[in-house]
Amino acid sequence: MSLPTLLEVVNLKKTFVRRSGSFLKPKKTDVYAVNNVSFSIEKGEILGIIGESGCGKTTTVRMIMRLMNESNGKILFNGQNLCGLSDEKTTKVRKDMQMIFQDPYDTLNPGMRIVDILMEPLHAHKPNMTKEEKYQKVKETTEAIELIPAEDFLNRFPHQLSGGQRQRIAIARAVILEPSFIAADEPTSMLDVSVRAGILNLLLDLREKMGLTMLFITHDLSTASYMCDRIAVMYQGSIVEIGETQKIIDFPTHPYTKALVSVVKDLNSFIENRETMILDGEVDSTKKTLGCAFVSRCPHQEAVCHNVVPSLEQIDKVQSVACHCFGSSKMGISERSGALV
Amino acid sequence: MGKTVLSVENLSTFYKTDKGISRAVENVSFTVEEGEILGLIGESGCGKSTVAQSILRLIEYPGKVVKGKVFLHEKELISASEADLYDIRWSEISVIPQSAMNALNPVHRIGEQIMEAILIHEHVSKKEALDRTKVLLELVGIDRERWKSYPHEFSGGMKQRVAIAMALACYPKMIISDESTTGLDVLTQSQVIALLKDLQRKMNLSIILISHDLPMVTSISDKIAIMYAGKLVEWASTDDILHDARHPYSRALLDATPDLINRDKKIVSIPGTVPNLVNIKSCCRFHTRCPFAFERCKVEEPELKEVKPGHFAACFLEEENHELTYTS
Repeated sequence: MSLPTLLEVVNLKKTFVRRSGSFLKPKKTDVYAVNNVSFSIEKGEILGIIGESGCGKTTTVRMIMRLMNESNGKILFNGQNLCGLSDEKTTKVRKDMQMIFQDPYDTLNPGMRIVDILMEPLHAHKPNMTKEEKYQKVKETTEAIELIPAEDFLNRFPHQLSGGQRQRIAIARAVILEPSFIAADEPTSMLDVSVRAGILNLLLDLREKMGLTMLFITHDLSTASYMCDRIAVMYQGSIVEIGETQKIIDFPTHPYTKALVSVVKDLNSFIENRETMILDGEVDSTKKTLGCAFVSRCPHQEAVCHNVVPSLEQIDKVQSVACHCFGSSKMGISERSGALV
Repeated sequence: MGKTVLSVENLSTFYKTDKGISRAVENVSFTVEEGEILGLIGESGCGKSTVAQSILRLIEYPGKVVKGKVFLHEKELISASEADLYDIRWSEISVIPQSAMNALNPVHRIGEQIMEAILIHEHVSKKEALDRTKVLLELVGIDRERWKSYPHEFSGGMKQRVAIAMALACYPKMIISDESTTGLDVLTQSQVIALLKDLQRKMNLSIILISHDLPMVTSISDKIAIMYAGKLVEWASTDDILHDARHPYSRALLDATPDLINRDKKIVSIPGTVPNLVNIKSCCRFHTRCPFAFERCKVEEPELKEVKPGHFAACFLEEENHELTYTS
């Protein structure tokens, strides 16, 4: 906890407008994609965001990377607020923060050779480097991502590489400017199990070597537990629980996290006890509920859950949760010690 | 040991390509017993779905089942006539397709689609079919009056449930679930799996669960079959696969999967890539990536052999009594 904070997100919000109704009577409804999300990442840390599809994880990252404007809130990177920065200044900041995307088949330009793909960030951000220096840098980086010898790969086109190799190139492109922060949006969800392990280990290696700070988005709890120091669990646009990975796995507090952990830990016991873990329900992000977003699927609901939005409260030094029922008798400490997990 | 419901013997399915014959599935044999869940695991392109389609005789040109037999109870499916297959599909064996979103017809009410299957295969009145449809919907946890809804009115998980209800329409004894939960959210997925498991218990179904999700499959299957590059490499009870895997690929697959309980376990990727199956020579298809490969693996193809009762593996190391220990 002594390390300085690199990135801080304060009350970040994003609403999209959904148009419906007839041509003559148009109707607009707000969809809350990201709702009051706050977290911070220390230098050298990997923070994981997990959640189901549509919960706002990607939208959060895209706002942080300034690929999308926020509706409200602050994003502090090295103390500098990125919201409202001019395009010119944003470009300068991007040199220090890069992103790895989900689909390695979509994110590399099929008409460019690997060497040109990797040169591009250098052309954009390092105008003072000579061509030889740039080539040298490209070669070094390609070798750093374990595509050896680099010459074999540099003149290829993306279609001549396998999925795993492509994702490595995407990683090389992100780290070639030696940024201090990397956001990885489901970097392994498109890859096979045997290749996935290599990519995850490479990211961990690069963090060691380059002192990277990372925001790691995934929907898979076991991947997150392998990669991350801390995990934030998102549900319908809000963070419902955030804390140290081990704590989240051993003592999940929010009913949603509990269900998630129990599915991965022991699917059989989840199947036996699923009525006590989670209710069947539809997820509808257009419906603005007064209370807790999880209420329609929560087995522990009380009157207050329907009327008041729970706020993220710190329960100890390393864990915070947004749930009204935490601390009440049926979800008390005795249960936290492991009876339900 | 229960009664054998399905038995697949030396099944080979090849695809014709411009560059030659792709040996997508070769010499695959396994059986499924009554009330058993068999997990069929493998990475993309290993032939899992081709096996499923071959069993149901759904392979179309340029693919062809070139060899092998599939017995469902006593009936042989590969040589069966289209008319016979017509009677067998749905009523004895059915499939839950990968993406329920595309499997349902968007312009018909879901109830009508389920009824259609019943009416075609059984001589019942429309009213009886509708009544059964409602029962089926309830069985999969959907309100019975929603038979009037169209597919777009359902969420992904609900559509998947409709697809399951549809697969159960004629009360088959055997269901093949072809990656039917892939693409769903974790919790929705586990609810669908829980539903399948419930139904399996209630109706004594046999299920082939095709997936690439090792942890999910191992937690609910009785037996596991692992495929690699068109070959079945290991087939054993779930316990044996988890604690006594004999084939190096099975071990590598387990080593590559992160474990929530044992977070310190260092996951290891498998070096190299899957071989091209077009005109592949006779060899162990895993030899290029196998840390224990020796000369024989490069020239001869290992057969699936019983290494201990009920545990089959296709690896020469078993015959040569090599000890499988990682030296690196």
